Amino acid sequence: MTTKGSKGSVETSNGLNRRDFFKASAAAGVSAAALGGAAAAAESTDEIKWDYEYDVVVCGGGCAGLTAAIRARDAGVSVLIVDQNFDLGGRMLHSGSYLSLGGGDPIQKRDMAGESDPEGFITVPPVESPEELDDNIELLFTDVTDWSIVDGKAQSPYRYNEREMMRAWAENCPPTRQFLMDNYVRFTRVSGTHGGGGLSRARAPYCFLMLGDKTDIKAGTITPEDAGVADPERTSPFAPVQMEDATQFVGPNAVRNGVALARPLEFSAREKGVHIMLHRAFVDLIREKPFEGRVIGIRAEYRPRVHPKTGERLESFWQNGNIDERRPSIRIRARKAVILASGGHAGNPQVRSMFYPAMREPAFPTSGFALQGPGGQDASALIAALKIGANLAGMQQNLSYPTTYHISTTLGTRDAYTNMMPGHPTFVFRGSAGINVGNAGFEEFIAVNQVGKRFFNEVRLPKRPAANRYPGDGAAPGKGLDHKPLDWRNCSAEWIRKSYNYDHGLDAALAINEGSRAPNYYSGPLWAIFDQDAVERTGWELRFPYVSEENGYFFKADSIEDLAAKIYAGHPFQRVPLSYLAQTVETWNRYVAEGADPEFEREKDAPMYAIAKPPFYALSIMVIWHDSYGGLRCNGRQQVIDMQGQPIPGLYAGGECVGGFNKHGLGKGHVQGFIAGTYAAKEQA
Amino acid sequence: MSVDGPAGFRWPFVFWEVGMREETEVIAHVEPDLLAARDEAHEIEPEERSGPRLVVTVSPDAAEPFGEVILTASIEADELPEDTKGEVVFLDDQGNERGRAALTDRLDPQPFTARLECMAPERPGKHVWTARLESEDLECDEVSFTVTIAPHPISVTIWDMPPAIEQGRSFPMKVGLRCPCGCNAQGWTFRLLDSDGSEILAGQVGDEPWPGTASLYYACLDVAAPDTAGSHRWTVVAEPPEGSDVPHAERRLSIVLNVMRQPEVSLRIRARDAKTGEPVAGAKVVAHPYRTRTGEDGEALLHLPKGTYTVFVSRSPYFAFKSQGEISEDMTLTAELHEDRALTDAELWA
Repeated sequence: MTTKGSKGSVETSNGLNRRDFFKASAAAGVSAAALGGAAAAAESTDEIKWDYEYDVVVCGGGCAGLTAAIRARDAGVSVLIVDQNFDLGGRMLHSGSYLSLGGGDPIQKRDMAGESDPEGFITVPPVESPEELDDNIELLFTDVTDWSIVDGKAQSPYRYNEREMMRAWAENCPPTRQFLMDNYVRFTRVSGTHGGGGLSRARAPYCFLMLGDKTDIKAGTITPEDAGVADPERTSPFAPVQMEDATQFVGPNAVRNGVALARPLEFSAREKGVHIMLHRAFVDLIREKPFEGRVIGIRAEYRPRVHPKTGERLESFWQNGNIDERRPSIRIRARKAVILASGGHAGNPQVRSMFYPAMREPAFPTSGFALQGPGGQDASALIAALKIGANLAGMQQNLSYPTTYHISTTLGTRDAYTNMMPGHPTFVFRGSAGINVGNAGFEEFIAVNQVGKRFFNEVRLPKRPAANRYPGDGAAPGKGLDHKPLDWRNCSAEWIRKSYNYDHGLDAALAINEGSRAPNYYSGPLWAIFDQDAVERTGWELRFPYVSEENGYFFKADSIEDLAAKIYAGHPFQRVPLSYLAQTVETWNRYVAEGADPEFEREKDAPMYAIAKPPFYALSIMVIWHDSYGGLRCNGRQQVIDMQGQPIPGLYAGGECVGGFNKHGLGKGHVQGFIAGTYAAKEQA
Repeated sequence: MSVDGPAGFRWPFVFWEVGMREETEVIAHVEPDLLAARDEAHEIEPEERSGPRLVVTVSPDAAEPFGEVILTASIEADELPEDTKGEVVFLDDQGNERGRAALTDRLDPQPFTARLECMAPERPGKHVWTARLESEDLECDEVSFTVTIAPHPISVTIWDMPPAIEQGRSFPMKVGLRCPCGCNAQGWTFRLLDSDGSEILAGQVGDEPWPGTASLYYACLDVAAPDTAGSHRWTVVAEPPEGSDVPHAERRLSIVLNVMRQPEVSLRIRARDAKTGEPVAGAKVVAHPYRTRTGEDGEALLHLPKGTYTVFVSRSPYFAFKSQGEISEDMTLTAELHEDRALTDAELWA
C-alpha cells in the first residue's frame, strides 16, 4: 500500500515501516529457531564491528532512563544514553512532576515530622496529617496488588499487577526517593496519591524550583523567563510547559512541574559523566544468537529533528556530555547490559490498536507529541525486545486505567495535552496552543464526526471517571483512612452499581460512521461547531497562539457549507467531506427552537444555543492516548523475561515499555529505572 | 524519518486550490460503500476490443463541486498474469494528473482494481477524464470516462431572529446568501414561506457583506409574527440566480418560530458564586424559549407568560444551574453556581 504523502500519513512515519521491518525479521527468526536453535546468528558476534562501547547502554532519556543511567554511573561504570529526541527528559519534561512513591519514603517521613526541607524553601505546613502519611512497604505492596478494587469504569487497576515486580517496586520506593533528592530533585509537601499508587495513604509530592535571578540547579532556582511564568503566552527552551504556582505546597515564589524533575536529573547525569547521544533512535537489540545468549549491544539510527521551515537541526538545552554522531546507523556494544527505557506505544497507532482497533486512527496522537517527535512512544522497546524472544505482561491493563485515552477539553490543536506556548523549539510542530474551554465549554457547541453528524450528548463528552488513588473518590466504599484493603465489599455488585460513573461518549466518537472505509474503518476527526454568538458569549480568544488558521485545526467561514468545505480541504486527517454538516446544523437549530434534543437529550444537562450568526467556526476535538500499561514482562530486578520464563541475560527495562503495573506516570518509571540501574551495573562485563 | 508531523501535509493551505487534494489515499480492499447518500456507481463502456481493457466507474453519479469523487478502475480480461502489478493514473480534462492508485492483487475481493478518492472539480456539468494503466506486465489502452458535477449549492443563513416572538407583533430577522464555491451572491433573491407554503415575502440580499465575513450578502427583514401562539415552521427558499454562467441548485432552509403569548410575569435571576457569594456577570439564562444574560450585578430579568419552565443559568467555569417549576407570579430565583474546577494533576496524571 502506498500512501504518497496522502492524508493520515503520520502512520507511515512511525508505525508501518517499523512494523513491516519487524514482520520481516520475525519471519527470519522463526526459521532459525526451527533448526533447533543451532543456527548461527546472521552475523557472528565476534565479527561485529562496534562503533562505540560502554558498560551500560540506556535506550531513552526519560524518567526511567535518566534515573537508571545516573544510578549505574554512581556504581562507577561507563554509561551512554541514546535518545531519539533532540533533548533529554522524554515525557517527564512535560509532566506535572506528581511523583507517587511511598512505603515510608523520606518525604512522607519529613512531612509526618512537620519538618521543612534542608534548604528551608518549604515554608508551609504539611498538607496531609501524620496518619495519612504513616506508610510502610507491606501496606504499599498490599495496595498495589489489591484484588478487590474496582473503579468508576468497572475496571480493576491493581489485581492484574505482576506480583514479584510489585514487591521489588514497593521495597525500592524509599531508596528511590532519597536517590532523586541526592540528585538535585526537590519535593513539595505530599498531597494525595497518584492513580495506581494505592488507596491507603498519601504518597505523592510534586517537584519544585524557586523563582530567582538566575537558573541554577544546584541552588534550586529558576528565572521567571526559563520557568515560562514571565509571559502567559511564552514558554522557554528550558521548560516546554509553563511551570505552575506551588505556593500551596511549598510557599511563595515556588514553581512546580516536570521541569523541576527532569532538568535536575539531566544536570546531574551530565555532571557525573553520563554520555548522551541525541537524535538517535534505538531500533534493534543485538543478542549473541537470535533467541539465545546475552544481549550485547544495540543498533541505533540517526533521525535528526529538524525545524520544518529553517531546516536547522534542533539542539539540546545543555550540550556537555553530548556525542555528536551523525552516521546513519551505528552499533553500540554494551559490555554489561542494555536498559530499555524508550517509552511505551501510545504514539504508535498500529500497536495500540491491539487494545482498541478504533485507536488505529492516526489522527489522534499521544500526549506531548510535538515535544517528543515522531519517535516518541513509538513502541521501539517492545518491538526490539519481541524480536529477540521477550515476553509480554499486562497487555489488557491499558484498559484498566480509567483515563488511558480520553477527550481533551483543549480544542484547536492536535497536541491537546500540553499547554506549550511559543518559545520552545518544538512549538512549530503543534502550530497552535489550543483553547482550554473546560467542561463547561462543551455546552457552547455541537460536536460532530468526520461526516458532520452529532454522535453524543456534547456536555458529557469530556467527563472522566475518578482514578483509584488516595483518598479514593469513588474507588471503594471507605474513603481516605477508612479505606479497607482486600475487602470484598470494595467490589460487591451493590457498590459497583453505586459507583459506576462512565458515559461512553469517547467510544461514540470512535464509532464507525458513514465516512469509515475498509480496511481500517477510521472514525476520523471530531469537530466543535459554533457561531459568532458563542464567541460573544464565552469570550474565547480565537487568535494566535491559541489557534492558527494555518495548521488545519481551526477554521472560520462565512457559512456552514463553507466551513465544511474548508475543513475537508485543510485538515490533514479529514479524508471525506462533512456531507451532513449543513443538515445537522439545521436540525440542531430546530431542536434549540423546540427546546428538546430527541437524539442526545442535551436539554436535560445544559442549555442549548442555536448556531446561526455568521461567521461560523470549527475547532478540532482530540482523543488523546496518553500512556501505556501493557508492555514487556520483567522480574523484580527489572530484567526482561523471555517466553520460557527466563531472564534475557544483559537486558533490563523500566518505565512505560514495561507491562504488568497499572501505575500511572513517574512513580513507576523512576523506581524501575533505579532498580535496573542498580543491577545492570553489577553485571559481569 | 526526519520529518515531524504528517508527511505530505502542506501548510499553509490555499483554500480553493484544487491541487490540495490531488494526492489521495489508495485503499487496497474495497468494501461496499457506507455512504448511504451515495448514488449507484455508473459505468462507461469503452469501445469493444479484444484483450485486457480498463473500465472506470465513477461514484457518485453527480458529485458535489469540491466534494468527493471516487474513481474505480478495473481490468477486464479473459485471463491475466497472476502477478500483474501496476498503477492507474487518472487525468482530468485539462490533462492534469488527479492522482494515481496501485492495482490490487488477484486475491483481493476486487482483484486488479485501482481506487482513487479525490476532490471533485468545481465546475458543474460533465467532464471527460482519462485513465491510463502503467504496468510492466500488461498493456491497456487509455480509457475515457465522464465525471459529472452537480450544480453549485447555495448557503442560506438566518440569524438575529428572537428565540421568543410575541404573537401579532413584528420581529426582525436577517437572511444571508452565499455560494460556497465562490460565485458572487450580491443581489440574489429568496422567498419566505409560511407553514402552509404560502409566500410571506420575496427578498433580495444587498451588496455589502455581513461584518466579519468575506462575502456573505444579506438582507434585514422586519416580519409580522403569526397571530396564533405556538411553534411555526417557515421556510426560506434561495432561488438559483438568473443570468449566472454557472448553474445553482435551489436551497430550502426550514426555521422554527416560537410564537408566544404576551408576557404576564417577570422572573428575576440572581447568579451567585456558591462559594464566595459574589455575583456572576455574563451568565447565560435560558427559560425556554426566553433567554438573556446577567449584567455586571449578576442579575437578569425575563418577562414571560405564566407557565412551567426549566431555567438554566450557566457560565464557565461553573456547572450549569438547573431549576424547574411553575411561574405564576413575579418571582426571584437565586442561582448558586458551583465551580466545575479544572482537574488537578492528581486527578489526571503527573
